[in-house]
Amino acid sequence: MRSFKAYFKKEILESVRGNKYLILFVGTIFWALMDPLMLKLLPLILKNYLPADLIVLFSTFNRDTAFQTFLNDLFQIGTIIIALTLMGLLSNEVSLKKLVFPYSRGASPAGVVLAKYIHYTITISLFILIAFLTNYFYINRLFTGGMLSIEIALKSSLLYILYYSVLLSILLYFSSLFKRGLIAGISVLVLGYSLSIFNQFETIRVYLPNYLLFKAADIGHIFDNSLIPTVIISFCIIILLVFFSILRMKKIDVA
Amino acid sequence: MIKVVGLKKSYGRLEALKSISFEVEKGSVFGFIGLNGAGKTTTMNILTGLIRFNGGKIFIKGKDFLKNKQELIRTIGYLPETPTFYNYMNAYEYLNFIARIIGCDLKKTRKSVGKLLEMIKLTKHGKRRIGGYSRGMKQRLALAVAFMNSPEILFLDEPASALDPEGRVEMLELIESLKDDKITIFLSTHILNDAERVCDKICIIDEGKILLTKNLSQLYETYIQPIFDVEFEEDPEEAVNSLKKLSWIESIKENGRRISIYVKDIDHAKKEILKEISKLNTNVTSYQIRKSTLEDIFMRMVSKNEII
Amino acid sequence: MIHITVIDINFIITEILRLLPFFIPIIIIQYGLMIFALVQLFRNEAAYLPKWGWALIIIFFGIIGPVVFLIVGKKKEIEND
Repeated sequence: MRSFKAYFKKEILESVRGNKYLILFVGTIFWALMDPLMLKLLPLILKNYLPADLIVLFSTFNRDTAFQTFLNDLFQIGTIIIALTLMGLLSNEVSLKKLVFPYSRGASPAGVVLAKYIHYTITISLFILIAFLTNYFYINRLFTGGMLSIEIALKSSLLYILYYSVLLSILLYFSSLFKRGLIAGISVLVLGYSLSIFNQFETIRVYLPNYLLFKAADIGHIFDNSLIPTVIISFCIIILLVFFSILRMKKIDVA
Repeated sequence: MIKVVGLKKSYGRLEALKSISFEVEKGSVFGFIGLNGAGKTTTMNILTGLIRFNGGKIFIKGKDFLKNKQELIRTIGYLPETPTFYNYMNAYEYLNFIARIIGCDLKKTRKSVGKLLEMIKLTKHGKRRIGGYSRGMKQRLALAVAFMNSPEILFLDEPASALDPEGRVEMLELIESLKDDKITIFLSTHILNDAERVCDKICIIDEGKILLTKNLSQLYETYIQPIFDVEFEEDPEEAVNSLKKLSWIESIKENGRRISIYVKDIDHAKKEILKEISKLNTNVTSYQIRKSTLEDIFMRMVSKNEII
Repeated sequence: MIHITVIDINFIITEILRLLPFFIPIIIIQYGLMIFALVQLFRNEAAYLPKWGWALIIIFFGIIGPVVFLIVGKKKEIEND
């Protein structure tokens, strides 16, 4: 608990002074603002250059499809930004020998790992929530039609939060495994993107965390029974990987 | 206080520690001496719980270190050779951060953080980010970290290496004063003068093996052996060869025109050496008897060509 | 096939004017971040590229430029010893 508190405060300080809050905030909120506007403007700008039937395609965007576009962009760009910003979570601490003093004064690896995981999960969850609400507000002002409601947006954001909690636990574990943060970051990116391919296969997709993203975009049926195995597996992954990260940090040579 | 039995550590194929054993008494200053790469830092990293080891046993305060690590580590302070901090913090923040980890009472801490900063003369720079500190300032801050919560055992790895001459003297005075407070100090150094001044016990380590562990006074008794330094006008190769044949001469170290003669029987040598030199047909420019220092002992121990 | 009428242009202009307030937060974020990144660039050492190189990236690559600079280009105090 002592180490947890000390490291929680340390992560806050590091995020402020290392501009991590800023990067993560911009990385999530920017697309929430930009996507609806671009969708609205593009047909106007292209009107003079594109055939009319293509323009019709553009103007069929309603609130639902605009929301889905945001979800997709948030996944693609948000994941890169999160992975690259936080890839050094544990690897930097070890390779730069920052743990020599804390460990020699009795810091507990469990406290360190939990503080980091919980701090960044809270941070990212908060930013995702803000991004979803802003996006909902923008879409409502710019588009009509569709069945999007604040309730749907919140449910959808919940699934995104759970997805990024899983991704963060993977990043945490990889970061404890590899000496170089970049390897951890890129592995997480490859894993995150490639698992989305399985959303095409109905039988296995429910067992993979990327199904959360699929269901988040399934407006009208976001929460249904098909999510049960996914949610259970997601929590299992989080608990296991955080546990493995703690084990790894207990055994690793920090000097 | 500390007992190490058959400690082994290897990095891949390289054996960094080849089964070393030693004991450190409570309240003493234990001088751990060796060349760079001899295994000093490795041993200290193991004893402070920072790295694993491959074999052997460690007991601190009579308890098995591996089984009681979390408890024992709280009584230890470590000053690493190149300390690393979170450079975006300032000295106040870092000391408070460590205090939180140790679990000091924060009200007490605030006072003692101020005191610590005063002690290491960083009060003026306490609010500056550590990233901008000089090597010496970092070393002093590291000392404050090692000192927090008054540990019973202090591990100091080359504590004076980054300090200016003045800081070095202060460091030695500090170690001497700590000795009075009954704090056990494990001091690694390659500056033999420093070790000679403050250590009670000397342990010489070379290539992962311990060559000798002895009390300083004992060491002088055993190895006290005057050295005869003779300087010739010309290259003394011939002279050396004929001197080496004498049975009471143990070894001769050559250094240009100057030679150092180590002997087996001092009294005999004092009488005979001048006679022998006069028999040689060369001019001697200087002759003196020198008391052996720790440096001489150390040099004889670690250079493989010499017979101990 | 493409007809541009006066009505169309009027419609486009009114649409853009209507959307203008929605751009304000984006402009604030985009330029705020750009200025912040430039200030950081001049105050700190830059990694991998000379400072002018990073300045070009920050200014001309939209939102991506400053973010990339802050992630990889800024030599963080965390890492230099």
